[in-house]
Amino acid sequence: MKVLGEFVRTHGGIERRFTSSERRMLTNLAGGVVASLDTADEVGSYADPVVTRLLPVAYPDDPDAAAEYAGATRSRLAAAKSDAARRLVADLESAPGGVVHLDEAAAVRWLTALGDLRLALAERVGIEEVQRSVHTPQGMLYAWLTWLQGSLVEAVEAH
Amino acid sequence: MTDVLEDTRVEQRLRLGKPWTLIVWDDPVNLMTYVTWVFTSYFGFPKPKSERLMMQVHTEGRAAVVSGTREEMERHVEAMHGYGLQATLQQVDG
Repeated sequence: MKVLGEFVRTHGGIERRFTSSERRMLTNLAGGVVASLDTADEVGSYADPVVTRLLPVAYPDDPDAAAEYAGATRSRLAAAKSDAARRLVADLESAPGGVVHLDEAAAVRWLTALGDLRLALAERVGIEEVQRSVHTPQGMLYAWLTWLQGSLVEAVEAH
Repeated sequence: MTDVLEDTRVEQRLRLGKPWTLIVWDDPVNLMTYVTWVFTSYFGFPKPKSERLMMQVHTEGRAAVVSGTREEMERHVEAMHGYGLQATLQQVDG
């Protein structure tokens, strides 16, 4: 049994089988990201480092322009990211036998969603912490996510 | 004697006409292969150019990726934020 299988190209897409514990981990992480992003319209969300990392400031030296950009894009970006995380969970939930099959568009959506999960985890736990402590559950999870996203980049580029 | 108000207006017009640049900053999370893929798939850059820009981000901490009107650059910076990259806009000096 391949526990750490790469994403592989198949006819008309990319596939990987996820174990139930992998599905659970991704679902939990994605749920956390969705919960953070769902607060993006609230003033308090500007103090949440995860939201700030996922929805960065476009004009660091110009508060007025930064606020204008945020006003125009923040809700839209938060909704798109939240949607991608939810759909990743939906794909995992509907995967027969844990085998997720992605067409090109879904693979791109997954690629970015996995990136957001890594950004959120690194922000929440601390980048030094997740990179150094591969023996902690969070460090192992981060290392696995890094490997998983790298595997999906390769599969997408192999097209 | 120079009209100060007129001077300010000319200065503003010149400033409005100056191009804007999209800067992508290094971050400790995004994979080098992912950043290269973003540059290639979103901007349509040839892979060597995307790799060169990615290496510049990685080694110098930032790279000017593309320049143009403010409107265009705002579209690009939003796309980069969508991909999870640290991107900002700045007006070209000079």
